[in-house]
Amino acid sequence: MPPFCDAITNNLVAAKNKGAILLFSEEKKEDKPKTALFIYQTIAAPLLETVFTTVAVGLFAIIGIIMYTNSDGTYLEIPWPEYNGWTSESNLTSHFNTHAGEFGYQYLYQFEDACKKNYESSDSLTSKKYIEQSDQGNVFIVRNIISRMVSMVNEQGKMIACYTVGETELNSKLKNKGWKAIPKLPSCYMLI
Amino acid sequence: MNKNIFFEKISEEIQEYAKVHAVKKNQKFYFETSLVEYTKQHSSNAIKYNEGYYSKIFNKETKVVLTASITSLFNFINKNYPKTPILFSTGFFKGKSVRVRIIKEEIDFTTVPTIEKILKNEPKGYNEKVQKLIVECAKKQLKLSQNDKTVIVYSTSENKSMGELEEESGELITFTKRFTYFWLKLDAKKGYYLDNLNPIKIND
Repeated sequence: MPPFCDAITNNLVAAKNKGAILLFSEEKKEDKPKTALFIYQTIAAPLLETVFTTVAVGLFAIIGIIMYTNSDGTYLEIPWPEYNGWTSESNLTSHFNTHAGEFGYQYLYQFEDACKKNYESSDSLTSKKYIEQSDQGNVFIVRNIISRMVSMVNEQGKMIACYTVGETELNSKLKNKGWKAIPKLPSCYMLI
Repeated sequence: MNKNIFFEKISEEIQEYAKVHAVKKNQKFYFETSLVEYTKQHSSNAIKYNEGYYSKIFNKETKVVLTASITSLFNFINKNYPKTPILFSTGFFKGKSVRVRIIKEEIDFTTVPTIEKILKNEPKGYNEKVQKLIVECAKKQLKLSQNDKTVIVYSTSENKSMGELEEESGELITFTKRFTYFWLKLDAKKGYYLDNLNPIKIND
């Protein structure tokens, strides 16, 4: 049976084909199962279910990307970049000197590590993704709802900024800086 | 670093950059090379809540080169930092190392408006307001003329209030072949200004 994605746990779990089970139980009552019913039970029903679920989840994924990345209605698939260090040492230390006190980090490596982990945990239940489309390119943003830490990465996967953003400041960024929230999608939507 | 390994690594970096930014991979790129050294000394510039935080600091020297040739880049690094390990990302590495990164593809300055034109335009929206301030400060602090041109490589808000705006950090390149990091701030006495400026000559 095809697995499906449990959005709550983000785990692939085996789909329970209730329809097929019911039909098989009915089949036992009949002495001569019909060929059409047999084909439906064994091939068509599981196939249709797989196709339907794949298309539905796929569309959800695509709509999520389109709605929040391109306002003119055209399709634009933007891959989420992997973390690849900071843009430069100057930028890292400037951010540490300015923002590390917001988190209470004493050492540079603690700050760097926390910013990296925050970015990489974008799929966790306490994180939310945003995208900022500027003239200089897209900025990929992850904000932890609890710690309020924001990690901002450019298209090359380089960290450009890391600091705390409260709710009021978040609303201001959504309004002024054009941050767009990206809906959380299950990480395991491969069904076939 | 072995020349072949360097070629392989930097080619990957160029290919990735070209793919992401939809530019040609055989064109010129601005590369930054930074000499980094982690020591156990304390920084004299450590600010109050960070006092004593440094178990490691770095002393660095940054150079920028504009080239399309990987051989030229390799020779440039070898000449300036002989026998120094080369890394392609930030991170902790005991002792000395050279960090190499692509800043941007070569800028076609013929398509860039002059400072005069940018300053004459009435900014529309938040981002244009901030970018105009950056250009205005860069003109003053980097001693650029009205006819000069400057390109912001990137800039990002810093969540530090500056009246109705926020502080902004980023990098810029000027037509006069200078590259610098900046942090736009507001001071009660001197008004808006760019902090952390360190203009580096671009070797072409």
